[in-house]
Formats: sequence, structure tokens, C-alpha cells
Amino acid sequence: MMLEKSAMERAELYALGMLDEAKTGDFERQLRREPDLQAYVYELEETMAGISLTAPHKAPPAGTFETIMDRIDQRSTPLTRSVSRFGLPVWAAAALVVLSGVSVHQVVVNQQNRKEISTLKEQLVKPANVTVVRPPEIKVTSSGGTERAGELRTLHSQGGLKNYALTQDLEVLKQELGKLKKLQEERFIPQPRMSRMVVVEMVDPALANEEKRERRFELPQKISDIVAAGLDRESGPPEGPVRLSGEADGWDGHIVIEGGMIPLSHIRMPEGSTATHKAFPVENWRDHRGLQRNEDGTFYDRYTDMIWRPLENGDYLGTKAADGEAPTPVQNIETPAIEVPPNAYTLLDETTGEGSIIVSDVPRPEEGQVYQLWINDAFTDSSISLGVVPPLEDGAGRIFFNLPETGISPSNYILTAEPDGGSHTPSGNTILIGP
Amino acid sequence: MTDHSEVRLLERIGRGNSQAFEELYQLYAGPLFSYARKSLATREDAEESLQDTFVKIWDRAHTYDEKLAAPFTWTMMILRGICMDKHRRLNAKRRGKSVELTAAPEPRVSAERTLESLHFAETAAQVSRALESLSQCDRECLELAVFGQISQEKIANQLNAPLGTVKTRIRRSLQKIRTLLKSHDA
Repeated sequence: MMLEKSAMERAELYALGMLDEAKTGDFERQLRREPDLQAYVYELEETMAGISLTAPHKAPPAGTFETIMDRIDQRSTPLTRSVSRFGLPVWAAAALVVLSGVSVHQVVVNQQNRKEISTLKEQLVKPANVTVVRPPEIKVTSSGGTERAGELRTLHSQGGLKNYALTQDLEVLKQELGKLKKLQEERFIPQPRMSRMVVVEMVDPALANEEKRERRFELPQKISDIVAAGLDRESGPPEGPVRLSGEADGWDGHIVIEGGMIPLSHIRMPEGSTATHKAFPVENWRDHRGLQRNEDGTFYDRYTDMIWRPLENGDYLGTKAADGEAPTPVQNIETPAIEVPPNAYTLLDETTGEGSIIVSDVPRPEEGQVYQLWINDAFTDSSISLGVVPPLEDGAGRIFFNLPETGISPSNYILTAEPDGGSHTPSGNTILIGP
Repeated sequence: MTDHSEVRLLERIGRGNSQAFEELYQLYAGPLFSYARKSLATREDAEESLQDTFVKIWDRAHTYDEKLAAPFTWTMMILRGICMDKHRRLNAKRRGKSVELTAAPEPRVSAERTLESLHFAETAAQVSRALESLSQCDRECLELAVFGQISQEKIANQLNAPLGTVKTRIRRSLQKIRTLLKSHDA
């Protein structure tokens, strides 16, 4: 390991948490580039953890784990418990409703909203088959009827105030429901068992707030179908989370495409990969970016370097072009004359932190500028660079990235135009944003 | 300190398995709480930090990458971040007050350690021996940095020592412990 002394010193300060925010960012960028430095930091962190173990032993108080689970439950499904917002048991809240004149319909609406919110939150927060909902806790005291009647009288006297509060509650719930619905529309979770793969559509900022914008999830849907189908064929349903990039989307096997033009240009196909297309778009091949027809009747996809050859039964067999095999095109694809707004999808396997962005129709950056992809960390509310986008042929392509560190809570993505070489923080025009 | 069964636990937690979460709690809560107690001034702060740490473990287990850190190291990094935030927030209130670090005559490995801490007893004993091999001044500086999570400038003020000396002591101590741990692992 040959590290400069200054790098080692920074690593030590980093491990001790003594670098300020700006220097931490710079150091983490350096860290990503230098495996030796990563190894050194790993050792330092281990050392720190070891030193931490020398603290005199103290046992945490009993019940801490239950408290932690309660906090997790309350946060992930805060509205599923059968206890009202005011901490009253359901029977008391119901009595309050009757006594204070709040319409039953309103309460039912609240409950429906709550149920819907809860479901949406579960889908968005934990798309896996994860159940964190604990049994409802209805704490009814063993006190007698007299005590209950007294409580009801108290509730009645507070009815006006609580009626108002319930109305406010309804408004808050409606707003929350609206936000969650919007968020759900913007996100696409391809397969329930591909538990942590999240697809986000990125669009021109001018379109981002359009309520009736058409969502275009067909493309990532097809990609995820291929990934899922391939895995099914090989080994049945995966036990663990599916890796989107790397092995999974270029598995050493054979894809059978039943219909439609699967965007193969967006799938990494390693050597030896083959595919059969049962409905190759022979007639409308011009509609598919990157595809060219060759003089010998084959088709060539220049993004994947695949050659498609007709089979006797009408199917097309796709194989990787051999070294030096240079198909002669009949006609190259021209960039469509129709101006299409730029768009992109990000696909992130939240389990591994591996992801990719599929961009289309992105204009060439201005002279002296590059595009840079950012992710916002919901936890720190900061933008983290995922990298500078390399030059794109025809403004389209797929770029793979890794989340820069463990512990990041990705929220939304931004693609900005930055000065050549990239920036530390987003400073240029936003080209795409999502969700 | 990489233990593959703990890596598996984190993987299961990442998939939402609360039983695995409880198993990890049983293993790690003691050492983590012990660190928090030594790092933070009050028991309440330590309890809150421990809870926050496990909530984050639950939230972030799916992002855990064993290539970047061993499981315990990863959880300790989370806790240290939380303690650091707490130090910053409480700094104004407790300006200049030591966090019971300089007076640390307590035994480094308690005889009353329970099952969960036996898991770490060997590592703790190694590090304790390594710490004992440091000079008193070097150890003091390192402990303030690791447990007190205060800047080198503040450590220099607190120990009434030149900043350069403090930097050297921390660096030297850290390297020594690291080397000792590495040689033991080898």
C-alpha cells in the first residue's frame, strides 16, 4: 500500500469524524477513486470500532428493543393503530364523534384515507413482502362504567375543540394522501419480489408538475420483465433481492422475446448472450433507435453490438457480433425529426446500491459543459454526485452507477448541466428531474 | 471483526426480518450502549442514541455492503455519527465540560459482561492491551478523539497541549493500535 502521508492523515481525520463537511465530500470523492485508500480507511474504521469496544460495559435498559420496534411501527404505519390521534381508545373516539356532532361520514372518510395512506406507504417504503405492522394495541382499562361515563362527559365538554381538530385532521390526511398518490405515480416498482428495485422517471422540470402528464413506464417494465424472466428460467424465483445491473441483466443465457420491440439497447449483453425475437419489427425497424438494416437481410443493433438474423420459422436470432464482423448497413437510422422532450429512467437496486440511468433525447451539452447526475439524500437533505455522464451518441444510452456510500437514503434524482469536469454541488441548469 | 453470520443477519434485516433484527440487537446493543454511555454525558442521551442507531440500522440494512465495513464497524459508524450530532447540538450547553473521559479508571473489560459482549470480548481485550501499551498522554488524546468526538483544537485546549503535539499523539496512537490489531489478526 503506497499512500501519501497527506492522504493517510486525511483518512485518519475522516475515520475520527474530524473532517468538516466540505473536506469530507472531497475526501469521499477521492476515496471512491482509490482502492488503496479505501482499504486503509477500512482498517481505520475497524480500529475505531475496536477502540470503541473498550468502553466500560453498560447494559441498555430493559424494554429498549420494544421501544425501538414501537418507533419503527409508529413511523412506518402511524395510522393503523386503533387509537385516535388524541391517544383515545377507539370506543372513546367514537363516543366523542356522536356527542360532538361530527358526521360519521367524516370519520369513515378519515379511516378510508388512513387505510389508503397506510397501504401506499407500505408500498413505497417497504415494497418487499415485509410486515412490520404489529397487532393493534387497544388499551382499555379495567375501570368500570362510571369511569367511562365520566370520561365521555369530559369528551363532550371538549367536543367543539376536538370537532375542529378532527376537521383539521381530515384536511391533513387528504393532503398526505394526495402527495403519496403523486409519489406513487412517479415511482414504478417493477415486480413485487424484486423487492428493492425502484424505477424513477425523470422529466424536463417544466413537465414535472404537470398533473396529467403521461407516464411512460413501458420501457423499464420490459427491462424488468426480462430480468425477472431470465432469473425464473434459470433458477426459479430468487430468494433474495434481484441485482439489476451486473450479472442479472446480462445473465449468461438466452432471452426469448414474445412480442414488441424490447429495448435491447438498454440491456448489457455479455459475450455468449443470445436472444430469440418472435416478432422482430422487420417493417418498422426505423422506429427503433440504434437499429440498422444490413444488406444481407440481417439487422444490427449498434448499442448492444448484436446482430439479428432471420430464422426459418420467422423468428430472429440475436447474437453478439464477432470481432471484426462489420455489417454493411442498408440505411442508417436518422435521428427522428420530431422534437421529443428529454427523458430518463433511473433504475436502482436499493439492496446493492447499484443503479443505472437510461436517457433518451437529451440534447448535446453546450460547449464546455457536461451533464452530471445527482441524487438527493433524504436523510441529510444534500445532493450527492453520482458522476458525470459520458458523451452520448444520439442523446441516448444507459449509464451505470453505484450509490457512493452506505447509509444514503435516496430521494430524487437531478441531471444538471455543469462546467466541464463536473461540480461539487449542482449549480447549472436542471435538464431532468425525477420524481 | 467480520462475521459472516452477522452479515447474513443484516441481509435478513434488509429484507424486513424483525427476528434477525432482534438477534442483532441482542448481539450489539451492549457494546453500542457502552460506547454511547462513555461518549455522551447523560444516560438519557445514550439511550436515545442507541434507539436512533437501531432505527437507522433497520432503515439502512438493505444498503449494507460488507466490502465497505464489517457489520459491527458499520453499526458503530452509525452510532458515532449520531453521537457526533448530539455532541454538536449539546455543545453550546455544555461548552468546556468534559464528558467523563479523562477520568477513566474503570476496568476496560468488565467481569460482568453478558453473553452478547462475550462475542466481542477477545477483540476488546486485544485493544485494551494495545491501549495500555500507549503512554498516558497518547491514550488520553486518542480516547478524547474517539469517545469525546471533539476537534483536535478542543483536545489541545482541554489538555493544555500544543495542537501539533495533539495531532501527532492521536496519529501515533491510532497507527499503533491499528498495527497491533493487524499483527494479531495475521
